[in-house]
Amino acid sequence: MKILFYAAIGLAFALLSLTGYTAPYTVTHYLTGYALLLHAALAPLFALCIAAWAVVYAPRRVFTEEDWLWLRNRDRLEERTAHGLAFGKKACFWLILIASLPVILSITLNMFPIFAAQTQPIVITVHYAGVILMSIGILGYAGCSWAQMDPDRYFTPEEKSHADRD
Amino acid sequence: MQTEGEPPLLGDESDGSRAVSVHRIPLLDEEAADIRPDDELMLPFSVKATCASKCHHYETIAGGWHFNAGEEGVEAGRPGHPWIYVDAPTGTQIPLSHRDWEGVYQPADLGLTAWEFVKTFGRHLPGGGVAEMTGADDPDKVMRLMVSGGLEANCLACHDADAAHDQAEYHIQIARENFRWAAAAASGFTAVSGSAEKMPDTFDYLMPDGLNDPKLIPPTVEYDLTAFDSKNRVFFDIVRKPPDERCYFCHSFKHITGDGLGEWASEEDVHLSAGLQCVDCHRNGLDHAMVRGYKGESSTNPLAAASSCEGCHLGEESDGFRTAGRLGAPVPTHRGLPAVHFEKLTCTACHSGPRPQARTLRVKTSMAHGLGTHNVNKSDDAPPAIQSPTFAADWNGRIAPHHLVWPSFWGTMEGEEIRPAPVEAVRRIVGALAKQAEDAGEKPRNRMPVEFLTAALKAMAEDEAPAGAPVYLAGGQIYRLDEDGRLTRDSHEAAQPYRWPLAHNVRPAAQSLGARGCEECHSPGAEFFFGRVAIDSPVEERELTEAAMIDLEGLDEQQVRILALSFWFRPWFKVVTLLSAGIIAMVLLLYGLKALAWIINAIAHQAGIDETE
Repeated sequence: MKILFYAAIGLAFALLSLTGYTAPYTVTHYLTGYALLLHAALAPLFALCIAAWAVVYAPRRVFTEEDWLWLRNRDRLEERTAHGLAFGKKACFWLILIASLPVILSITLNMFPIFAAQTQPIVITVHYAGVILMSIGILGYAGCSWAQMDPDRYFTPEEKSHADRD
Repeated sequence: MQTEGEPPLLGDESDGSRAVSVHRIPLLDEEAADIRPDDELMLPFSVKATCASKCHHYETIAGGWHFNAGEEGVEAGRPGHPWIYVDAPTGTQIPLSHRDWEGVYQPADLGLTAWEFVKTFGRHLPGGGVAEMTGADDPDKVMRLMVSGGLEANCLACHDADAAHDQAEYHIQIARENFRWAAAAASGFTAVSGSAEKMPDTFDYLMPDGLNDPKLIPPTVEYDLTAFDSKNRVFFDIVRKPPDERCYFCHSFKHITGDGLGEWASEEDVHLSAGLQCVDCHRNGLDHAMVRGYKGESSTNPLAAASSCEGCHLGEESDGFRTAGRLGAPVPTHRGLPAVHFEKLTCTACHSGPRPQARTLRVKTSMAHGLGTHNVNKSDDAPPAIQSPTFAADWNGRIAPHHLVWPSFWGTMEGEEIRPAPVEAVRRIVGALAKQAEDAGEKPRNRMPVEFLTAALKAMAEDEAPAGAPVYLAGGQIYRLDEDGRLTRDSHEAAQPYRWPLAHNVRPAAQSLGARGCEECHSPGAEFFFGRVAIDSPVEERELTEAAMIDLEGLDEQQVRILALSFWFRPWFKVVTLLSAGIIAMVLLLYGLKALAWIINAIAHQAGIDETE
């Protein structure tokens, strides 16, 4: 179930990125045609997945006092690196959630008669900025998760024991 | 054209007064001689001589948009309303223009001389340019030109606000070949009788009494002698800004809606309802380089860009003119309308002309149907058949409402090149054959059975000088005979419709397309995309055929249909995404508050404050 869930998010993110990021390099220079249809079809699914993910994982991604202490601990490098993955995942998790709000709202609210034509480019810019932040968060989260899944490759035994503990 | 350093004439520049310049002036004839009420032979006054001898630089004015179609080096600009040569018995309906618009033919391509062009279309020509026929292109017509005179730029056609001014009378004089007398006849204080058409080639208008046949009445003009004051001057009610009714003589149109209601039930353009005049937007200076009023217009008129829709309503700058809100134009906000619409559509797509129809309407226009003239054919199906509103890609690739005409004409084909056949030859061969077939009951009037088409093409092939294989183009198709003499039909580029954008009447924002929701266009049955364009063809087998609007728009039908279907799910899209955003916001708020509580506690702890205090 978890794999399916992550696969759905991953696939949606990949296709949204593909259609969204390549749009400026197309003939029309903006999202249109079938790419737009695909983008618009996947967006609600992605938004729903993010919302579900937020509800399920938020309790596990709460910053703790340990994270604070870890941030201030500058002596033990191996512990810093190992714990850093967990900290990175948490940071990325909250970054994704924070960025997702402007990403979703900038488009959804644009469908209501709220923003004037002159304001809409600004709203779209907000969408772009949010998307970039969100992409950084998702890639960061995926990277940390990937590293945690294969600790032998990335960590010394000392680091690995910390990673396991986290 | 006024050359540099040449002093302006009396009326060429304003002294700044906004009062009316009263035109109580002497009348001059073609030779610039004064016309007096006691003249033995009353000659028609010449507008050119009367207006231009001392006061206005004629050549400068005659270089303006309304007169310069035939001049070399004049930029054609956006395709406009063509002249449409119609000869129903031969199934001819072909757009003509001296301008280099794609899809129109030059009058000379049909063998029409300038003189014949004026005779055919002079009813709505403002004169000047090709109509003056200073360089006669047909030796046979030189003599007739001496008889009829040329058609000078008629200042009064636009600037005479006299209620007695009658452009319909102008048309009558054109039909009688009284070109020299036409402008005078249209003014409110003359009566012209006689007909130059009936005059022999040797007729001299300065010596009209030398006719041998007493039944022939030479063109003569009588003046209302009370119009002359004691100094032999005549008052002209000249206005700087022509009244709309003057524009309407040539620029009226009527959509055949079939609702049984007349003109009284139709709405006025929103700009006119707001108190503007046509010339408030379509302005010009002395050079009469009139603003046509479209985005991207290239003109010597510095107000050209500023006078487009965007110019007044959005404030597009033009040569330093800051124009937003000009003439009280409201600045539209277009709330909720995705910006892509402004790239893919013209303003007129949503705001001008009739709303999209399931099947295009026929429209009658002054220039094409002679509206406003005497004895005009008032039937709804009078040719030419112009279809409107047709939503199609304009010359910039943006979708705009257009008028559209399917050319149908006889011609010859060499390789892939199609050349229209001279109208004289078509009348002589096809016209005669058509009459014969109609008399024998083998051909309905103005319709073409395939058998007749075959016979006509054979007759044309047997004519002495066909340069290439004879063809007939109609309704998007080309008809020709194969090697065995059988009729074949194919689609051909030259048979594709000519279209020109329509801009009026502009509807108010509340009546614009989309004001009632996106589904006006984005639904599976939306006329904007999926309306049908009637194909007009006199060929019987192609009657009542239609083309798809979306093909003219240059869009992928499948994609537009899917997009339209997606609007069914649009409310769900909004619900799901707003719900998702709400949940995420709640999570952020909840854990944000928790974090805040933790921080406050940490600060309190550091400050040594006990939680229980």
